Amino acid sequence: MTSDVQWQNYLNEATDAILTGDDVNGIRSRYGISHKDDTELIGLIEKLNGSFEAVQPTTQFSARLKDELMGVERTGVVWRIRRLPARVQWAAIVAAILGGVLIVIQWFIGAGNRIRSKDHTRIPEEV
Amino acid sequence: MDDRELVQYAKEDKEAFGEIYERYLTKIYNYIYYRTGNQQDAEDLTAKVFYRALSHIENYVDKGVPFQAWLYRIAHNLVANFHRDKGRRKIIPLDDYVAHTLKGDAPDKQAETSEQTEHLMEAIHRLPADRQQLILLKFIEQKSNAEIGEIMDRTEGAIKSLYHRTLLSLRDEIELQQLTLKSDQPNNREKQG
Repeated sequence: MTSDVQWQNYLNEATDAILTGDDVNGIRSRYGISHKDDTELIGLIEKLNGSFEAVQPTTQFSARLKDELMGVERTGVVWRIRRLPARVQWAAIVAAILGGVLIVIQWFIGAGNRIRSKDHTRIPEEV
Repeated sequence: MDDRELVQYAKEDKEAFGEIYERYLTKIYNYIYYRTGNQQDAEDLTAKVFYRALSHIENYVDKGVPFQAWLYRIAHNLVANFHRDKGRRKIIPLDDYVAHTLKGDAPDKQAETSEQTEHLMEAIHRLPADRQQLILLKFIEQKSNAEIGEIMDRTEGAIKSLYHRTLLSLRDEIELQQLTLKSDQPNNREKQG
């Protein structure tokens, strides 16, 4: 019969083996544990090992935070916008696009009016 | 240069603190990312950890515990405050890291693995904070029990025992989850019928 402490030691050793990609069978037989008894827990450890993958912070975030911590002063519109929260950045982009569209529409309306007014002021060539 | 020397320099020299930042940014970010479940909160809290470390490093006293343990404790406390303030512990968005861990799998396998990973992550997030911390330090940082003990201020034996209990409670959580899902399915069918 395996005691609680033996189970603790076994599971810790088995976890180390799984993390390094080694075989658990040798450890299992050393502790006198049958495959049937540990299937669930070893399966769970394997699942845990497969579910976590190291993530990397973005380079922009890493560089920006380092500059802020080091007290490096940065200027410029792009940098100012980058410091804003994501939602505000999106709002700024949408506002910029809408502004651009309005300017283009205004320009077309203005151009149309100019052409029409030119047509009206044209002097007939021959009477 | 080892951490001990670097920390002494960092008390007066910001460049030395920059070196500490480079060494530990990814580790702290990973820890927070898996405790919060999304990039935005992970970035905010990681920034807070390093700001707090910078403002308190002058008062840091080397008591024989690795410097990284101090950083992890700051991170752990900030994450705990974050969950307490926002009341988010039970509604953590899981999409970010489920999607992240499945990159590159075939679509049908992705769906199956995605569901399994999501259930596992949900079960992990229902565990008490110290057990979540242990799981993350072991499986992401791949730290030894002795190192985890230094970070969590417990003995190596206590960590071994806590790990055993954590696995058992995680197994029970998953079983309970499966039972709940099974009992929900007939109810859903009745509602649909």
